Amino acid sequence: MRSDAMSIPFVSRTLRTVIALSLAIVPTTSLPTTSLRAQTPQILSTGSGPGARHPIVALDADAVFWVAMPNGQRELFVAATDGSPPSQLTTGADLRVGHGTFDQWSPIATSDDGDIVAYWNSLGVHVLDRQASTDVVVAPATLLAMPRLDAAGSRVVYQDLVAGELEVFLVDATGSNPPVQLTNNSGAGRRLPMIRGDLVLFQKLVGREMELFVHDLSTSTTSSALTSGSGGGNRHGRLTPNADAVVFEAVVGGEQTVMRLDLGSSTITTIGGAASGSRIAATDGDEQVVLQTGTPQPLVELHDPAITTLTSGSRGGHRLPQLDRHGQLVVWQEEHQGNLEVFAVRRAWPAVISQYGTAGTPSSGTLQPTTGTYRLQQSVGIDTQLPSGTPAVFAVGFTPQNVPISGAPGNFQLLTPIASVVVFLDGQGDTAGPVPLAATLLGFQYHAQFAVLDPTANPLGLVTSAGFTVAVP
Amino acid sequence: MSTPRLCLALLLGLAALPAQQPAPRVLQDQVPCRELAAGQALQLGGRACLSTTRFDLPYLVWDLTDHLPIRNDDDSAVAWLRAHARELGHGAFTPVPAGTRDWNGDTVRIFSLERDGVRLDDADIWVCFDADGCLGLVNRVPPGLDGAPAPGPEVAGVERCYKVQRARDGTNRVVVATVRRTRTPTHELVDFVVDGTAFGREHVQRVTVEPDSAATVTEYFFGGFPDQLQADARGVIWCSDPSGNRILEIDPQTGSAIPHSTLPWRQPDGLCVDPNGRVWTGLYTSGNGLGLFDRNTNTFTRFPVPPGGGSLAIPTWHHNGSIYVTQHSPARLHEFVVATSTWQPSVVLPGAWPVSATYDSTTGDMFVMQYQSNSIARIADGGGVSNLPTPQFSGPSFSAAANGKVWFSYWNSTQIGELDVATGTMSTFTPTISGAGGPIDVGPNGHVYLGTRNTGYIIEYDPVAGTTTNHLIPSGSRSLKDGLTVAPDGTVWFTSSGTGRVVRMTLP
Repeated sequence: MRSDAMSIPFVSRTLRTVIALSLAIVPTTSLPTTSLRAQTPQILSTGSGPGARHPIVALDADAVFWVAMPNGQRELFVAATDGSPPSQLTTGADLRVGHGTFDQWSPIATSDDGDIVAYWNSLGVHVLDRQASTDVVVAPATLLAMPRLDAAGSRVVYQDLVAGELEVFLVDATGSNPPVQLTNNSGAGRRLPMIRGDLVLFQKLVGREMELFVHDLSTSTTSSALTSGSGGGNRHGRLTPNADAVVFEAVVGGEQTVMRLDLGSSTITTIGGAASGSRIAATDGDEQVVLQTGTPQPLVELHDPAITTLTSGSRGGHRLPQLDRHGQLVVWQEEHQGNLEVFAVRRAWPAVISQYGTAGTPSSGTLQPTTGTYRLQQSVGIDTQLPSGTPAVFAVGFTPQNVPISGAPGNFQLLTPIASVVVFLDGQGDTAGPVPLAATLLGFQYHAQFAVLDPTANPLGLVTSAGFTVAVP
Repeated sequence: MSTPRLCLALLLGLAALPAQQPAPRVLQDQVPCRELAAGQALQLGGRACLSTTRFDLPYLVWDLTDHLPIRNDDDSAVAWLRAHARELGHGAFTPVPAGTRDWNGDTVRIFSLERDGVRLDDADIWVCFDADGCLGLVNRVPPGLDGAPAPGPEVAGVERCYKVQRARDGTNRVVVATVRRTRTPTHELVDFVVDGTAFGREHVQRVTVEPDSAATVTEYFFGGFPDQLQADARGVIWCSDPSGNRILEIDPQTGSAIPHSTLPWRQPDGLCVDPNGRVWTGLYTSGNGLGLFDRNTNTFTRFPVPPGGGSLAIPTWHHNGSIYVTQHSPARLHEFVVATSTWQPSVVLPGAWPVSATYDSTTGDMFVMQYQSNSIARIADGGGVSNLPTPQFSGPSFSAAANGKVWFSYWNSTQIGELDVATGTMSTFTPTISGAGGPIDVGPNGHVYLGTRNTGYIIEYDPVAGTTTNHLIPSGSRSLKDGLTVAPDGTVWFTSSGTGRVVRMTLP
């Protein structure tokens, strides 16, 4: 499943092969060298002091946040994975993180663009705006707030005590309105709320087991229990970025096992990771899941559903992995030089895709450019209203140009092709070509264009797309 | 008499006095701290004995100089106990043999009490023997047996027992309760009813429910007396060693340890690791105070005792930035403010002999196990202290909090107590392994892990299923006392204090 707004059919194996071959002819000496290599763990923090780092990553930005103790107080830090040094975002904040080794749930949260960060301390729940350079206390919860932001960073959910029970609250990120209590009489234990869209996920006891519930802000209704028989401990449930599913951990045979609950169909599938200790799974928008597992050496595993181990293991302790929207960046904590530090694997650098030139006019409808991202692959494509099976040519080249095509007024050849391949429009009149995101393509730039055979569009019977410039920074 | 003659006579007289022997080890092991095994003179039938007291009754009893005159058989023991029923506080109750147990090579004969055929639920008496004779006895009986009512006539088909009905105001009443038993596939639920109202329930697991489980065990020998332990965020295990005046930093992968000396400050006793990775320990030598090992600076810092403080025992972290530490006697909970390195006024606890405290992160409240008074003190985050009597008279000792429950152990039984934080109600779970309880912790899967003392098992209790699994401890590492923790990866670490070992148990 793709997460972009416009669905793009997956490109064929043949097409991928042709593109890969065409790219392979580029002399390797033309590729720039770089110190930032994908698939190799980077250490983003140093000398962070004792305690856990609780790293998190923004879904849509190269921004990794964590807590560290530079001077005896716990402060908030951020870094990108481009090699730039980390920045300290707070001074004297002394963030709270819960109950030491017993709290694996991240005490901090960020908006999807990484501009807004939430945390809590002895003053209450804070919302820090990196662009506006503001830090506002939006709620008075100081015990175990565990705040979470929505995608835009405009709303915060957190937990706070009411009559001896932790309840879920919602407050706007500006703090201009008082918090609204979303749950009542939730009973013992933690709620660990999370918000995506209008859905607020939380846990509460059913009998002796913590189960997951969803409160819909748009209807002000709370679901019945979404899970059952989940066993002891916490569920540590997390919504997917587009809130269509939840990953959580349940006790199966005495071992914490990661599950995925599809909110549409209510089906639950087992992801894996069954082992003692918490799994603290996180998921992206492309059905990839990271979790911690393993003993005696804790590991970070990526399940897609094949299992890839991202860490080589060090001493014990929680790894607390998280990943961005497409799983291209995975972060966790691991011991380094005596402290837990923030590790990151940049599995792919997202390409920057821009457009140039103009598209021609087909015989029916329009020819619109599309882009998409799925896991470690991006794509460029076209969206038409032409019949399924219509042939098209996908061409790539290194040199842009802008040459009017004779016999096809309003259409242009926008590159000098070095390779091309014939593709066919799918049932929606769409097609796409892949943009591989391999580490060897760092610093690489090329161009792509589609031409669709449309006999009635013009005398030549060809309609061209706008050009794409693909740059892997 | 001249002064030299007087001195000589005194010296000779002193030499003629028999040496006062400390409580035998098997008796010492039945109290959580050695101070509770310090004897006071007690005359039993004209025989000079020593005893400790509980509820103003003899608790541990041993002879001043010799073995007690009890042969190693049930009849002899029963006769001796009956002869001293008044001094022992048994009232009209008589001992009944209830089995034997081995305790580190010594033989323990166990007796229950009953009156007119009705058993007393809250008592057992251990008469302990080595190869040469009777070492002494453990007289675990509740107060008030003298005033217990007669059971009255037997009613056909009705099971009855004597039971202590406990009230929150601290009063105890020995009553004749009707016992109602309900069988489930896994448990027998035992309700104690008086005047038609159930005032206590025990969940007794049926023996055949879960087979023993063979966990993978790795033992590390460090010598000394490894006591309490806890993992830091890296999974590194920190362990106190009061006899070695050191804190051990144990690599969980290799088992190698780095010792950190606490000298000149002595006897690091209880230990906790705060979320900042700092290791706190109560320095048990009176007046030594609170210890902090900071691995950032690789230094050990000692903070003097608070005003009126004595021997500091077990520390606990609190989210307000304080470290709370228990003092057994007089019963206090001291609050150390880390930011200012100052002490707040100490909390005077409502019970007696607080062993350890547990922080409940969902309320911010502290729960203090009070061994001697069989109660739990609750220290509310916003202030206020309440006293919660435990349903069992077995000495609550250690505890752990998770998801609104405080799970606690009893020093003198393997029963597991559950305190519901919201309601204050307590339940009792009786596993298939009997004996003596000890350290306890909760794992991330919500399971409760109880270390038994000299019984040879780690008991894993699943609160959802309500059943326990017993994990066998290797014979060389059964000398548990105070230390058990669940590391972040779910492995269970415990100390076998008497054998100088730290043990890692990976559960199947």
